[in-house]
Amino acid sequence: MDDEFLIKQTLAGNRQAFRLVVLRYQRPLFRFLGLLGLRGARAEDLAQETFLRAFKALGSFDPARAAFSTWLFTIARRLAIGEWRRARQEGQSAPDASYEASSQAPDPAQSALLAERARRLERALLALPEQLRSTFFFSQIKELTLEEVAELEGCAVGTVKSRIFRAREQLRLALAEDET
Amino acid sequence: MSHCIEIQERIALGEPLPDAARSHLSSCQACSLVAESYSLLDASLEALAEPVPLDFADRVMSRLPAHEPARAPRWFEAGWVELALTNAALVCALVNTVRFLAGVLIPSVSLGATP
Repeated sequence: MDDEFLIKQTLAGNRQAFRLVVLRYQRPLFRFLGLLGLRGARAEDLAQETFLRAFKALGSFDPARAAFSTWLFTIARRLAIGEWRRARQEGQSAPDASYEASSQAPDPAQSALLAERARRLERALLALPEQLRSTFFFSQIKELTLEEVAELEGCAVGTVKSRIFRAREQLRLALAEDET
Repeated sequence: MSHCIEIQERIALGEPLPDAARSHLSSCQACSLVAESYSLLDASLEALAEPVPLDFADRVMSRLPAHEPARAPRWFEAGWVELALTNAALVCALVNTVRFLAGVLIPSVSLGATP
């Protein structure tokens, strides 16, 4: 069942169809939010709000203009930017510094190493220039094609590739520096 | 050398490697080091992914409003626009046909004004 069919079903009153939409996109959405540094309750609130807004505005979604995934992540991005601004105004640190809680390595030394690596990666992600970071985050969502990332970012596919290349290179070097 | 650059670019972009490039990694230290550091990056990025709460979909469904989402106005829909344009074209064709037939069958109407 493709997205368009599920959306038509939802608009016709079949709520289970929307549930399938949620199940299809929940993982990539949480992945996206995790990369943004949103964790736990903050990530869940934002993910719920994304789907609620998508449901309410579903009648205005036009498949001829954009893929559903592009449309959904546009909503998520807008909400995430709002959340970041709000956190900054309230003086909260963004991203959340709660990686330890989600680390599941059984060996304590290994667990500490992974947690330290994750912190370094989060710092390196924050240090990326805004444009690179935004494009890179979308590129990490497997459900989005390069063309869809280009549409979200308002640039050419070649520019997307170049930004992904530069972002990954910077992140790799940041991790490698600290490993040595 | 150019082969190495091409392979390292693919690795950097996170693109899958063809078989030939994968076997090259086992014999080229420079490329295998690059591949190793990118796989460390990918594993670390994977670890940052936030897990989905088990009953997340249920919680979303319980928060949906009671009424269904409103559709866009029907006159906005492409099908209705096409139908309206087709109807307008048919009306124009009909009017022109009537005017033509009137001119052929009743020429005195148009000549009547001439002295």
